[in-house]
Amino acid sequence: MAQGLDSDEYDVVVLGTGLAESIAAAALAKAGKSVLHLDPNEYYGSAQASLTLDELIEYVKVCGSTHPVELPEKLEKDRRRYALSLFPAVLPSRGALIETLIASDVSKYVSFKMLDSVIVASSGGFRRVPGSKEQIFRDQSVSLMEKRKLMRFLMLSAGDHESSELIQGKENDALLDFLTESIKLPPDLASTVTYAIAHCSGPSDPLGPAIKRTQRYLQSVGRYGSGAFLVGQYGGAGEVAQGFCRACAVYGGTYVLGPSARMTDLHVDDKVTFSIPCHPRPVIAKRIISAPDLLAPLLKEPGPSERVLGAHCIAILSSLPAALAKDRALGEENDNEGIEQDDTAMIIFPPVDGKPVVRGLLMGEGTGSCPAGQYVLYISATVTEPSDSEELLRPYLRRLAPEPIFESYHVSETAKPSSVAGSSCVVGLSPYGDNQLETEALDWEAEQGRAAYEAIMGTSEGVRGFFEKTEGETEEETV
Amino acid sequence: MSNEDGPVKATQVKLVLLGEAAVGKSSLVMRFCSNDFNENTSPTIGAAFLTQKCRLENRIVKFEIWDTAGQERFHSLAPMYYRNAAAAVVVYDITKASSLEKAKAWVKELQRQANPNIVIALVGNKLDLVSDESGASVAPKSKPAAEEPANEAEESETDAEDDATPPPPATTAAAGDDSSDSLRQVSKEEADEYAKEAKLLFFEASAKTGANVSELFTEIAKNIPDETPTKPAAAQGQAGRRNGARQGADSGVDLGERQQGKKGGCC
Ligand SMILES: Nc1nc2c(ncn2[C@@H]2O[C@H](COP(=O)(O)OP(=O)(O)OP(=O)(O)O)[C@@H](O)[C@H]2O)c(=O)[nH]1
Ligand SMILES: [Mg+2]
Repeated sequence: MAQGLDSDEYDVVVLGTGLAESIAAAALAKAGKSVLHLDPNEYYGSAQASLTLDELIEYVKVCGSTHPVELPEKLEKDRRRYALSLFPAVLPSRGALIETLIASDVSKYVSFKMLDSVIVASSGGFRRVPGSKEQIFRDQSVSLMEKRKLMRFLMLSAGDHESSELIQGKENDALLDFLTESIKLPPDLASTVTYAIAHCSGPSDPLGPAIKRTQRYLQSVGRYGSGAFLVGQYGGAGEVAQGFCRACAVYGGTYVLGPSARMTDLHVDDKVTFSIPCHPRPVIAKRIISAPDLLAPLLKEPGPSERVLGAHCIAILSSLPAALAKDRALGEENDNEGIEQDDTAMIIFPPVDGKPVVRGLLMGEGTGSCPAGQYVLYISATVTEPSDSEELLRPYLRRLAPEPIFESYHVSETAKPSSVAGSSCVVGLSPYGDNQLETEALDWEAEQGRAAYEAIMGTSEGVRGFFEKTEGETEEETV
Repeated sequence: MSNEDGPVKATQVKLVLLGEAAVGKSSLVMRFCSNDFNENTSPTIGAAFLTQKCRLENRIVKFEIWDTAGQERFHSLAPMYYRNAAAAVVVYDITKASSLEKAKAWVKELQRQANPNIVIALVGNKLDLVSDESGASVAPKSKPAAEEPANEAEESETDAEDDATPPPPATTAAAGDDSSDSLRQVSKEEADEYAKEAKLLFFEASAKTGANVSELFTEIAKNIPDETPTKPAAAQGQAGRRNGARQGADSGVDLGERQQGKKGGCC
């Protein structure tokens, strides 16, 4: 076995195996840097890990949940067959992560499926959001008049909206108001567009960014299938992070996880020095990449003060929620060829009664998240107080699934972007601090990974680009 | 790349390698995939995975071979490494007793982490380093050389002497090697017994000479059930077909819209 690391010195040490860290590590190793990648946890993925059921139960306990849970006896035998994500998210078919996956060839290690449905809850029930223009036209629950208005908005978003007179000067107005006042959509439809297409986090989300998300949504539709989003197998983000870690290892990166990776005596001046239990001597690196949350305590700094809190529920269901069954849901296109039930769905609860937007993500057996016949249901919301996640989310869970076979609740804390340590040796990553977790977070991570790569490599001419292929490689790749 | 699949069914199989550092994992793959051997391999760097076909009587098994890329060194192999692996080759070095202990630990780990139907083969590598591949190999370490049937090539002593005195008319394995049988630290019997107990396929092989390498992979291929779920995305059940149907059963979305793997060929 290993008598310590192969070397006392590295170009870069990366701390934490979240998606951004792992992407940066892989890109740097590929560009020829020597990379030491450490994670004090026993599992890959940091705050974005995919855990087995027993690992999740342990995680919830450790992160101080007020609702620790026990492993139900009947799930004991299959506990390792679950891939439960601490970071449930969907991947837009166009965006930074997809491009990074393709450029890095990590797409060979991980697989994705189209998200089957997007569903919006209203007081009246649930409705499936038509994904494409064609589906909008086939949707019988929307009048022709409303369809025209809706198309007008979509065309506006898809096109050169920045120079549109209708929008200019209103970038900071709320999208929801714009839809009802300028586009004259009925409230129901305006709400659907706001939360299920533009993925706003509240009624006052500004038009500018919302319309950009809508544009990206429209560009994503159809790239790989009729929907705009993909879902990752085996929990998604955590699996993708593992894929990048493997790529890093393949290019020579060294991996240490668990207690033997726990850094002590970290000093940062013109270089980075630290000790880890798996190596008999201090280790020196030119640069360190990490999220401020991990780094601050090691540097004995106060760390980021502003935090975004997320309330999370992870439930296991033994059947498809009735609200999602194809023959029951409202606004169904008349597909009379054998109804295929959804394996995956995003369920959006627009804000009501002072509650935040609540988002659900359903992952069936086809995603490798659970044993056959079961579903994993994630329900999350951004909250302002470290309030009771169970109290907030349980009614949503019950509405979708009255009798889950397992449910757990926890609160996540994410530091808002901030800088750590004035040293240029430190490349800080900003965790995703916004709240459209489902649709934007994975691309954010990819952009952070790229930024860290560029902070280390520079972007001047002649420097190897992010996952740029060498000539020989491109030839070999064509089989 | 030759692709004469035609009507013959090709089963795609993910195969993972495990074993202590420097036992010859990468060398076995190199021998199998490119019929090549390199004395100075660096710890594995490079390919995502290699592919190689194995043609059986009634079908073709296409191996997608994953090497550990060193992630096993500090016990940090990612779960994704084992996921959907239909076969595993656990390698030890017959000249290093501790490597068999490590191999046993990996077998345990596989039985815990991997798909329960995984076909596991235990391989004692570097067979070329010991003199006698038949009866004598049964004996535990340090067998007096004099007892051996006369086979001078295998009696040559140290590296230094080899360099000085050209080896006698070569048998395949030995030229340039320190190949006294005393190098053997794991008897074939011991490993075989363990393999039987743990229900593993078992081979002693040499990546250097190629001895038993294609036999190993062919035997694994034969043991792979015909209907192994193929690609990583494979889901066992009903749901999730909706999109799979577009892409070929449950294979998920092909992001890159291009072929995978690096090498073709057939054993
Ligand atoms: N004599 C002999 N040497 C071998 C054989 N197989 C591998 N080697 C040598 O053993 C050393 C290690 O081989 P690798 O194939 O790199 O071993 P590995 O298990 O892939 O090592 P890591 O990737 O570092 O874990 C190299 O110097 C090889 O040349 C063999 O069958 N016989
Ligand atoms: Mg190797």
